[in-house]
Amino acid sequence: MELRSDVPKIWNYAAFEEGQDLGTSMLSIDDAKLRLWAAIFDRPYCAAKRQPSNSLLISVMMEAYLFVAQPRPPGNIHAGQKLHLSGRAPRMDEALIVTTRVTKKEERKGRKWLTFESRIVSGGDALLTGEILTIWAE
Amino acid sequence: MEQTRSAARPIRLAEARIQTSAMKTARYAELTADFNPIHVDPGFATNTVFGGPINHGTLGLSLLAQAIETTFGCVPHELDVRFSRPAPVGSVLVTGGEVNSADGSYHVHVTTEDGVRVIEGTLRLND
Repeated sequence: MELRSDVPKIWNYAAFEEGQDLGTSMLSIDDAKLRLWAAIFDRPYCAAKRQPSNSLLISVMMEAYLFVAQPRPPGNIHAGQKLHLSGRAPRMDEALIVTTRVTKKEERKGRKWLTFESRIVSGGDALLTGEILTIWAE
Repeated sequence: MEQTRSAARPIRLAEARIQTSAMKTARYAELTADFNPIHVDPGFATNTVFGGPINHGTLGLSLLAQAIETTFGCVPHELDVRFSRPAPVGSVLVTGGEVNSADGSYHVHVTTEDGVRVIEGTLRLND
């Protein structure tokens, strides 16, 4: 992934704007990731390699999201998640293009809410669209 | 597996479960590059409102995604959940879900073995 230089020193609430494009990352599900996944969920690695689970798209989405908005204040809360999965499973080592942007920013009941949209595309196929709903710490 | 009459779909989601541990949390942190100390640093997490390390919310969500895959295969669907409670590292996570006969959606959830609901929401199949 390319490093970004046009980012604030810390991603506090004020640094975000609705509609803001936070960046595009290129990731893949490689052997190392699959071995970790299999060990976490007590699954046989060989079977997982034949057909990686859709659930790996969730970790790819999170990895990209965490990468584009760093450093961040401690204490953010991941409050909710929407996922739209296309039914096209990921493949080993394919290039997964992940775009992350801010779709909503609002203060409610003294809390700072941010909604991020994540889209994962590969070879023209939209594999996942997600909405990450967070309560930002500061 | 028990099926609905109307759409020949399962009435319940397949159960998936894992025993979480510090090792699994560390592996999940590596998988997602999320090394938030609330998940991986007992010294830090003990002094928070949680009283100790908690699992990443999306670890439970990933388990739920696997249960959906086991139940229906790799099909287009929408999932809308909230992370209602933190799950301590070391807890057992168990998925569940029941069809809503009114609209064919599923009420899905992840609980700890002692019944604390940590994730809850709605699954809609798009076929």
